[in-house]
Amino acid sequence: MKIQLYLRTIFAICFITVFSTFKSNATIRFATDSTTRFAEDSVKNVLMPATVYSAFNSHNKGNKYSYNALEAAASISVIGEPDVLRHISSMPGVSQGIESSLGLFVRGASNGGNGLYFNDIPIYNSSHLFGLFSVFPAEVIERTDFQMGGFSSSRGNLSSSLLDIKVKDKFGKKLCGKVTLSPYLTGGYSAIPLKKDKISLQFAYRTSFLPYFIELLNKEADGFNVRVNDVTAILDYKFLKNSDLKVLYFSTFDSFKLYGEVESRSLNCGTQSISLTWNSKITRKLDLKCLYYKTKNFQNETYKGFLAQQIESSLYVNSKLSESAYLVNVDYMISPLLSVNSGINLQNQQFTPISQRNIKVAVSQNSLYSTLMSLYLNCLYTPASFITAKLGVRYTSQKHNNYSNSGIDWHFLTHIYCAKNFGLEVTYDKMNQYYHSIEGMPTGWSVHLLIPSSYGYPQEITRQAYLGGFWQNKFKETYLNLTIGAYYRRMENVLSYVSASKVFLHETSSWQENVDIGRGKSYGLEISGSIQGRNFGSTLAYTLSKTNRTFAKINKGKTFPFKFDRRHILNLQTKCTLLRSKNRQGKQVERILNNVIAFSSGNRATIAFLQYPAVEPPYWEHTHSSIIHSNEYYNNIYDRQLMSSRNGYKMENYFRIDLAYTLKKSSKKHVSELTFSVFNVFNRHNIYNIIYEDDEWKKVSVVPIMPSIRWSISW
Amino acid sequence: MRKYFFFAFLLYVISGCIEPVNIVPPKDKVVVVNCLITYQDFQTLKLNYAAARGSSNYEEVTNARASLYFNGEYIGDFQKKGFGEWKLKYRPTGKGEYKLVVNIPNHDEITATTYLGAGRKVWRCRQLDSKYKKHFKASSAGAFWAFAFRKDKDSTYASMNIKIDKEFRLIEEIGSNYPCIDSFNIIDEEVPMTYSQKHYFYLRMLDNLTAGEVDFFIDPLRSSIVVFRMSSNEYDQYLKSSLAKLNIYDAEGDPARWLNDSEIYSNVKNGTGIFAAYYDLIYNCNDNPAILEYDFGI
Repeated sequence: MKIQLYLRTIFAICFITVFSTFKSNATIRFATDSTTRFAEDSVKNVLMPATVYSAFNSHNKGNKYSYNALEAAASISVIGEPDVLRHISSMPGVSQGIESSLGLFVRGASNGGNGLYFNDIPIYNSSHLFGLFSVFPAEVIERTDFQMGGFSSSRGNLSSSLLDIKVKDKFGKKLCGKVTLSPYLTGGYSAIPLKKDKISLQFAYRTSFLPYFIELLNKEADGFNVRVNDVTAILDYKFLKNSDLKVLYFSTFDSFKLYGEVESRSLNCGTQSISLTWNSKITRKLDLKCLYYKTKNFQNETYKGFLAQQIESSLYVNSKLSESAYLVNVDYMISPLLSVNSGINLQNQQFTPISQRNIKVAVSQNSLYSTLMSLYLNCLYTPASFITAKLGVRYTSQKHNNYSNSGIDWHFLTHIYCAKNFGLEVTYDKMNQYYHSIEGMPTGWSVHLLIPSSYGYPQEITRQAYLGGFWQNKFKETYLNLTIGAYYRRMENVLSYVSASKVFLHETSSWQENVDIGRGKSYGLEISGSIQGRNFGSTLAYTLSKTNRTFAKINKGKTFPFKFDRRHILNLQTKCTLLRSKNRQGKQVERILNNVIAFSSGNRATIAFLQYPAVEPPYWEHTHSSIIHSNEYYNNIYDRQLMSSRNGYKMENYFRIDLAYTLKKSSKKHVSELTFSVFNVFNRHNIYNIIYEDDEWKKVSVVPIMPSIRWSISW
Repeated sequence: MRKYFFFAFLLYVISGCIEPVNIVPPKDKVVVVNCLITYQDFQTLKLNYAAARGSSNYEEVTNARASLYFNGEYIGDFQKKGFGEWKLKYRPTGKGEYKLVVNIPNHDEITATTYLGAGRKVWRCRQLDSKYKKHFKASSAGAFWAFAFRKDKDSTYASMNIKIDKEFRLIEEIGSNYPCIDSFNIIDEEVPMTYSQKHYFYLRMLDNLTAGEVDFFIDPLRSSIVVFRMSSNEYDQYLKSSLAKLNIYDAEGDPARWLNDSEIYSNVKNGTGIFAAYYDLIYNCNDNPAILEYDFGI
C-alpha cells in the first residue's frame, strides 16, 4: 500500500510538471551566437536564476547534462555529501550497480567504458571506500558535463559516456574557503590569492575520521585499519591578459589493513596525477591549449602469514596503470557560421594487470606498454538560425609491443529547431576504446582489471544513434525543460569475466582463463524534465531500456540480459526553500527541503533454484580431511546446483525515498550550512541478492535507513 | 581479495540485513543424465529429475528408452535395474566416440556424446633419482588427473590386480613438478623451493604443450598407489567445475559464495548431468625400491 501511495505521488508530480510546461508560453529565444559553438561545451547557465533547485541546467537537449556542485547536491548520498560523480545516477540512461556504490552503467555499457576527466586528466580510480563516494572534492569544481552521445572528437579512448569535470579558475581573486564536518567525511578548502588578479593557490583536503573511531572501539585481537584521503592543489597564473598557466596536483589514497596473530593483509588503491595547462587566446578567433599530464592509478595487495613452522610466507600483487600525455588543442572560428577545433594527443600507457595467482614466487608482474597517437578535427556549422551541425573525426594509432592497430572515431550531432523553443537532436557516434576494463562483476564497483587492447582482445567498438526532441520554456519566473528521445547502441569486443566467483577466489592461474570476448546491445527511451522556480525546483528522469550480452563461453553462447539491465529507471528530485528570513543577528536564514524518489526494476542474478544428483569426485569416500567445511561444501559433493540462465532471475523492484533538510545562514563574511539527511527514509530492504543458506532462501539487502549530519562554513 | 570483499561487504551490509524470503522454484521438470563410460563389463546410467534446492529426494525416470552408440553404430539399450539406475552389459573394446540417446515420453530427445581414449600415456621410470625417487614419464596426452592413496606399508600386487583397499586414504595434499598443473585447487601455503606446491586431493595436469615426453614426480610419494585418470574432455570439465564449486563453500561465512554464478559443466542436450568417459592407469609405489612394484593399465 505504501508503495502504491509513493507511486501515485510520483505520477502526480510528473503530471503537474508536464501539464504546467505545456501550458506555459514560449519566451526563451534560441541563441545562435558564437557562445554556443565549441563554447557550447562550456556553456554557463545564463538562463537560470541565482539559486539553483534543479539537478542540471536547462541547456539539456537529451545527450548532455551540465551541472555544478550545488546542483549535484540535489542527489542525496549515503554520506550526505554532494558528489558530482554520484549525481549522474539521477540522469536518464544510467543504471546503478550495487546500491549506493559508484558503479554506474550508461546506456547498457560497462562501467569501465565511462571516460572520466578531471580537468583533462583521465581518472581510472574514481571512488573511495569501494564506491561509497567519489574522489572529487565538490569545492574545487566549477562545472561538470555528463555526456552520453554526440561527443566531441577531442575526447577519445572511451566507449560509453563522458564525465568532464572542470575546476575553478581563481587568478588572484579574494581569499575564500570552506570547512566541512560530517561523521563520514571531513574536509577543508581554501583559495589563496598569491598575487592579486594574477596568481592563486587552491587547496582541498578530505579524510574520514570514522575508521579511527571504529578502531578505538575494536577490542578484538584481529583488527583492521582504514585510511581514506584525497588532496587537490591548483596553482593558476594569469600572466597575460589572454594567457594563463595552471598546475594541478591530485592525489587519492585508500588503505585497508586487516591484521591478526597468524596473518595480515593489506590493500592500497589510489591515484596520483599532475598536469600543466597553458591556455591562450591568441586572437579573437583563435584559442590554443597545450597540456601535459602524468597520472598513476594503482591497486596493490600484500599478504603476510606464518605457517605452523613459523616460516613467513608472503604474497604481493600489484595492478597499475601509469599514463603520461601531451595534448595540443586549437579552436578557430573561420566565420560566424563555421568553427573548427583540432588537435593532437600523444598518450603513453603502462599497464600492470594482476597477472596470476602465485604465492611461491613473490611477484609476477609483466608490464604492458601501449602508445596512442590521436589526431582529431571537429567542425561546427550553423547554416541557418534553426540548424546547427557538428561533425567530429578522430584517428588513433595504437602500438602495443608487436601489436599495431588503428581506428577512426566518428561523431555527429545536429540540433534542428522546429520552433523557437522546440527542436530535435540527432546524434551518431562510433567510438574505439583501446583498453579493456573487464566487466561481469556483480557488485558494480568501479574497481576493474585494465588491459590494453591486443591480439585476441582488439579494441572495444561502440556504435550508437540517438533521435530525440527537446523543449525549453519560461513561464513567468519558472523555467522548464523537457526532453524525450530514443537510442540504439551496439558494443563489440566487450570483455567479461566468465565467472565472478572465480575472480574473488583467485581460482584461475591467469586472468585470460576466466575472460571471454563478446558483444552487447542496448536500446531504450529516455525522458528528462526539469522545472525551476523561485523557491522550488524539480527534476525528473525516466528510462525504458533493454540491454543484453552474448559471449561464447557464458550461458552456453546464448544471449542473456546484462547484469544491470533494468527495464524501468525513474528518478525524481525536488528541492524547495521553505522559509527565507532574517534572524536577530541580521543573518539571512534559509530553510531548504530536498527530496529524492528513486524507482527501478530489480537486480538480476544467476541463481541455483534446483539441484540434481552428482557424479562425485574420484574415490571421495577415501578422503579423510582434517579440515571442517561448511554444510554447503558437503552438499556439493553428492549434489550439483542447477543454475538459472545467466542473469535470468529478476528480483523485486527497487524503491527508495531520501530526505534532506538544510539550514543555511548567511552573513556578510561567511555562510554556514547544517544539513540533516536521511537516505532510504522508509528503511525499505531493497533486494541486492538472493542466497540459499541454512536450508532456506534469504534476501540480502544492502543499505537500510542511513541518517547523516553535515555542517559546513564557507567564507 | 575475498578479505577485502568481505570488508567492503561489511561497509555495505553490516547495517543492511539478511532475512528469509519465499521463493517458488521453477516448475519445469529437468531430466538428469549421469553416465560414465569406462573399461568395465557393465555401463551404468542414472536417470532422475532435478529437485528443488535443499531436497535430495530425486524422482526417478521410470519410463525411458536409453540407447548407446559407438562410432555411430547401435550398441544396445540400457535396462532399468534399480531406483533411477539403468545398466547395459557392454565392455568397450577400444577408443572411439560414444553417443547416448534417451527418449522419454512427452519430453524432447536427450542426447550427449563423448570420446573414450585408450593407451598408456604415463609410465613409471625404473631408475632412481638422487633422492631415491622413481619418476613418471608422460607423453602429450591432453588433460589428465592424478591422485594417490597412502598405504600403511610397502606391498606387492600381482599384476593387473591392484586393489584400492577400503582403508587406503586419498592423500589430501598432493603436489608434483609436472610443468602444467591447474592451480584452481591450490593450497594457499608457501612451500620451500625444493618442494612442489600442494593441491587438494587432485592434480589436474594440463596438456603439455612442449614436444616429447615429460619427466615428473608425484609428491609426497612413499608407500602409495598412484592413479592417473585419463579423462575425456567432458569428464575433465565436469570434474574441474565440480571441484571449483566446492572452493566457493570452502570457508563458512565467506560472502563470495553469495555471488556464486559458476556453472557445472554439462554436455547433455535437453537435460543436465554428464555423459563422459575415462580410464585409469594405476601404479603401486613402494618406499623401498627393492620391493617389486606392479602397475595396472587399462
